[in-house]
Amino acid sequence: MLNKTSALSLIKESFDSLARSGTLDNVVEVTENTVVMGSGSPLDSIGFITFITELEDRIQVKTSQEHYLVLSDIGDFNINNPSLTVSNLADYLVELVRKENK
Amino acid sequence: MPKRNPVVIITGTSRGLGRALALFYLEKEYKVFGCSRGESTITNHLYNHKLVDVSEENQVRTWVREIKNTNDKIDVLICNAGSVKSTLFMAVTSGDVFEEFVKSNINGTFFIAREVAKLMATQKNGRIIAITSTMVPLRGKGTSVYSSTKSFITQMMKVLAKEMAPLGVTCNMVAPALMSTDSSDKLALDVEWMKRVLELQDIQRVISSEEVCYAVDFLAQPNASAITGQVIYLGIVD
Repeated sequence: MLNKTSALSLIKESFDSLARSGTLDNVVEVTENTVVMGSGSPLDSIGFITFITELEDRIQVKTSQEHYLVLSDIGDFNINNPSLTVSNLADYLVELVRKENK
Repeated sequence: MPKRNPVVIITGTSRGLGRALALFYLEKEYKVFGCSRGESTITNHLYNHKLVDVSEENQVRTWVREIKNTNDKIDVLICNAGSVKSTLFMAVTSGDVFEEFVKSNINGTFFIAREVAKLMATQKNGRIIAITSTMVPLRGKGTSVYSSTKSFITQMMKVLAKEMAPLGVTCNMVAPALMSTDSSDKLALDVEWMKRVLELQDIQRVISSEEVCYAVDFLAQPNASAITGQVIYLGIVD
């Protein structure tokens, strides 16, 4: 299982890894309000792909299971709210792992 | 330091062009990861076969993840799997045939190209090559569904090529004219159909799988890094 604290930690580790690899110019100070996708995000489109791949890998290591992120499944990220925050993403990850473990 | 065998993923390797491509790259000492819905008869220590239906999203994801976990890099992806089985005029093409073509040709290419492109984006290098068809520009009668799905692939690969260009990943296509494969051999039993197709071609003969392998390999070379979003047509002038 994955709780929100662990999910936030995985997201932060993924951002840090992108900074180490040079995909991000600087280390991002990650808070729950940090925008992952949408206006104000530190990630460009390719950075976002790399971030998602990195995050999926980390979730696999953490849960010992394959989990795939599907953006359109994130309820709080839609046409009326086209900005995905770290908090929204963490909530989605917790739910994703919970549902797939049922 | 031990020599590294480049890694190539090829879909639809149980027969036809996919099988020929797998054997071609094994001869060149690539580590080949092939898949199909049926078993493979290829026996080579560098060949890994997996039963995967490329039109099933989760099967593709799991397979690509497995390859990634055991290899530090994927050098080449060849999107080959697809249907080639109907020569009916559109007015009598069934909905089931239409859906099968969409599923195997469009969904299959989309899922595998998306998953591998993600990994190539992170490794900042790679070659994606899709097999399309001369029927896209020729618009042969009886190919409304087949050539439409190949046209979709052409457009999708060109957009992917633009998205991936800044990352050192190239996306190209090889479009053979009438080929001799298991699938097309069945169609070729219809002599009239074969005659009609050859009449549309500028080089009026059947294209061999070796000729297709050569064109694919040209695009897969490290020195082909400035070629992206292109289609190499075999047998016709476009």
